[in-house]
Amino acid sequence: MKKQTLKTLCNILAWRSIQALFVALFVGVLCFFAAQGLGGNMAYRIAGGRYGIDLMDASTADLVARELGLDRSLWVRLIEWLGDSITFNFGNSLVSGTPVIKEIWHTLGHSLTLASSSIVLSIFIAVPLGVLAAKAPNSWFDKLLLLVSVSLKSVPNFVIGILLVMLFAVQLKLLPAAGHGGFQYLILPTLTLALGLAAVSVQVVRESTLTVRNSTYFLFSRIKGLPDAQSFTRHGWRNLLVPVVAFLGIQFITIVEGVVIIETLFAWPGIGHSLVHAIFARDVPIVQGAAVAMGLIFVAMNALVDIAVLLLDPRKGEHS
Amino acid sequence: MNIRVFYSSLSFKQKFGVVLFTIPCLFTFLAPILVSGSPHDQSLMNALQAPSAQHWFGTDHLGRDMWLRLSSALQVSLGIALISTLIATALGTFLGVLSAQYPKTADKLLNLTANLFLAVPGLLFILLFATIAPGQLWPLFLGVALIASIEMYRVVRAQSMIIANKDAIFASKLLGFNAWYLLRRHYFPELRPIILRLAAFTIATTVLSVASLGFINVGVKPPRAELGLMMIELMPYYYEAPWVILQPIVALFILVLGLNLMIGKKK
Amino acid sequence: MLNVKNLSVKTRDGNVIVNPVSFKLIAGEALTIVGETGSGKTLLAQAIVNNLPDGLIAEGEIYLHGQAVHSLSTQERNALWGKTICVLPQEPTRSLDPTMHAIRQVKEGYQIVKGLSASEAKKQTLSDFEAVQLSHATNKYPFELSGGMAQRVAFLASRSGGATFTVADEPTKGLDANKRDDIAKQLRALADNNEGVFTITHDIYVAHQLGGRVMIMRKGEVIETGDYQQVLNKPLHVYTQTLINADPRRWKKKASKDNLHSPIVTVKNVSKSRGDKQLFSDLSFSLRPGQIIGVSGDSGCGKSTLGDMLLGLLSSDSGSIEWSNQQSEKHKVQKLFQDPTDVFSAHVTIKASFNDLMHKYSISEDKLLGLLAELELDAQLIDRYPDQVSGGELQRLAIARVMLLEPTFIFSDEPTSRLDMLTQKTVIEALVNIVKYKDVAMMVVSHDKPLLDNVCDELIML
Repeated sequence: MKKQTLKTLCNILAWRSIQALFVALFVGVLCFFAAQGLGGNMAYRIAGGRYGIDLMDASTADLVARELGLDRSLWVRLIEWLGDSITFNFGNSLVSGTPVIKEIWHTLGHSLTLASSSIVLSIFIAVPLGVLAAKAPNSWFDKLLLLVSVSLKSVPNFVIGILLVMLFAVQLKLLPAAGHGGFQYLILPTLTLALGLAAVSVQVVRESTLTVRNSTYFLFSRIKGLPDAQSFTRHGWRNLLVPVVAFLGIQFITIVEGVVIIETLFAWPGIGHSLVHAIFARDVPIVQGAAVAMGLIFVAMNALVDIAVLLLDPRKGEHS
Repeated sequence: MNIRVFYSSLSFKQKFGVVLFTIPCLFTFLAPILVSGSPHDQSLMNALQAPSAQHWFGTDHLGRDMWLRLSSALQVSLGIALISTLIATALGTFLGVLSAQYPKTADKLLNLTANLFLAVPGLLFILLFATIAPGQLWPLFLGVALIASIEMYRVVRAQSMIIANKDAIFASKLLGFNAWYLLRRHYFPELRPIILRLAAFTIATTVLSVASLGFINVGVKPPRAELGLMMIELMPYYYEAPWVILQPIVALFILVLGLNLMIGKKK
Repeated sequence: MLNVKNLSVKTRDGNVIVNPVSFKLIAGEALTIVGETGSGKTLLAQAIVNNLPDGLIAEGEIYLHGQAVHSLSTQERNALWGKTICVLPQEPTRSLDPTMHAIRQVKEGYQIVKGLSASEAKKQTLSDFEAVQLSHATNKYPFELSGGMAQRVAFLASRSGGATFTVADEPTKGLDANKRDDIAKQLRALADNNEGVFTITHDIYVAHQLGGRVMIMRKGEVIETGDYQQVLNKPLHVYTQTLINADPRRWKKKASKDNLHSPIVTVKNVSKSRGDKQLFSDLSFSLRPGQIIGVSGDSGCGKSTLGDMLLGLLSSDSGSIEWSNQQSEKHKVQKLFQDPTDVFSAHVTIKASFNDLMHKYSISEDKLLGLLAELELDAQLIDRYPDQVSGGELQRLAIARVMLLEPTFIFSDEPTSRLDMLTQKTVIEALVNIVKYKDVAMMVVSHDKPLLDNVCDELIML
């Protein structure tokens, strides 16, 4: 690997590490204040979780409060809380009492399944359609694709989910409306997320392909004598994919946000679902654990995208 | 800056978008004037009625007038969206141009902060704020305004940096013009179309975000009318009264589609 | 080799852009079309190659190697690219795939277009690279190549298909003298090798270097055609003569008077480096009012940097720049830019930009009108927007704006590089006249040495 490329790689990793640290700290601070909002409530609930609601009273809660050091000064507790946050010491759920890490780990796998199948499906939808549209710009196909994209972009992803459920689950009775189990439960949530992602990325693919097709180097390849198909294979794909892969980084935002909403709609037992429930139950440790986990994965995915772009486009190594 | 000239410079799709967007806007403000009553008045006897002379858009599962509920929900969505976008535009533009003018000082700090905040997807922001103050509207507002400001800042900054290197800027500086002149004559005219497009985009995104949050019951609580909240409330009744759940869906669709069409294509 | 009969270019509605023209090109001959922007020369080449822009069609007969090309389908005509017709790229660096190694871009021509086996193609490519001293660059990416290297790679790539008829559209655009001569030699070598070379250019000097026959075009018409020595030395048509006179080499040198003023700025032992490259060191000179000093050198050698230093935009690494009593009035030092389209705000009329300036410094409108008259500009031009005015007029308007402030020093950074020859002559004449008349000191940067030799009292070579 070239020296300059290696240097850029180190820069990427360093920067993303700083971002990861920021995530842990930022989430930590906000959750700390959320926990303060619970106040004595928190000690009460921890005590309840520990000893059982029936067996405890206010004095037990006080004991727990003192034990957890909840009576010390704000700054000290904040620092301690942040320290815990960075070392992934999130404590136990206020609802179930089980360690946060364990619960998060459990649900993380499901979310990753959903997220990765959605990305893959969206790529399989967006790339062929986008490339085809660019081959004949302003044709009926191109215009139809644009209409469909804009329409899908104009509704929240859960509406797409609702409509799919109404069609496939209720009317056609082909697929289950919600839940988790065999492969068939994965289809509708994945399709919902993938359609939302593809609606945006298909236009990115189209624009990128058009840029490549109209570029000086593509035209030069044609005039050198290479036929269109071979020019596209040799000079088209690699160059059009660079902005598309970079765009994936932005799409991760949609994926993370989408996972939260879609898991709730389809009762998919993932980390987003846990997060939403935890917010309701004011289960701050779970909220913190889930948010930090999602944030860190987001940063990690972005780092991977940065590296992928670096490998695809040799120019990126030179000036970043 | 002639409005008529501007309007005629829009493409057909964009004009259509403006029309589409105006419809729900007008409805939002005129609807309560045309019909009396409150969106919270329940009447279980009249639940899930089809559109009639008494209730122009029918009633929901609790007998509440849909015409009024819809306009109330749109008020919430549009209100948050427009105010956040306004704040974001003002703040983002100011800081973006500032960054471009002082690349060695202000930019370093602002850009770093913005990039750090990019580490957290917007929804997570809002959810975290909502954990601190559940059931209240301000976390929604704060989160949405923050994300929108950062996005506007980045776009304006990027474009301003390009403008800052143009010969026209150097020529004007040599001729002795001050920073205010540069802003007036060079930056703002060049930035205006981009800012407008991003503002429309921000309004659209915000409206969708608010609906999503309403859907998971964050930030807005019943009996407040909100599009996403209405959708999830009405879902169980879609079979017996499809026109009810379709209303918030269609209203949202027209609103956001109009905005998306207004944005148009990059030249 | 090439036989063209009554070839014309029209819009789809029937507007004639290039009038019917007929000519022949035989093997071993160079045919050069010379003309300004808008003469239709590029369209003519595109009609022959078959890559006219959308909306334009060609009519007439084209015979290549005896084959009636004009009656073939688009697909069949495009199949001629590379094998029968070689088109040299105008912008070599941009013509190379930025994510592919240099060697592969040539090799694929040999393999796919010419049909050689993979190993044969590789062998041929390597020997090509060696012949142009690029053996060390085979595995480099285009952004790692210098402009000259990229040009050589693109040249090899376009020739790999084996065509013997080459079309070169403005091959020397924007290049400095050395590179321009290299390319002209390259093309001449092709002709000497019994190939056909069809070149489009606005540069008369290139036409000289290529030899063969020359065709002068203007506004879609062929004005004159014939052997290059006859056309370029003893033209029959007035327009051709005007074109030839527009070449800075032909300009009459004005008698220079002694300059009795005292210097307004003295530069002593100034050096500057950018990165690890030393641009110049120990440079000393002085400028007097009314004196024009030229700076020439290859691109990247620091010409613009020197001027920016005098303008106070950059500081030197060592040495001093001393102005005599002009310090406080910053706006007395001005700059003329290479691209006049980018100098006025594009969103308001030119008049508005002028008014801004006149308002700020309380300059009367009469002064502006006087300047416009001196620069031979129609006063009504300023009512337009910058994109509605031609490049030459725009540059003169920029001169007017600068002169409104009665500057003591003007730095002209390649003021006419983007302009046609005829326009260039007009602008330079106007500029020099006004500068000498108002006793303004001027520094001119250009890669066109004959121009500087003619115009400047003193020359700095970097």
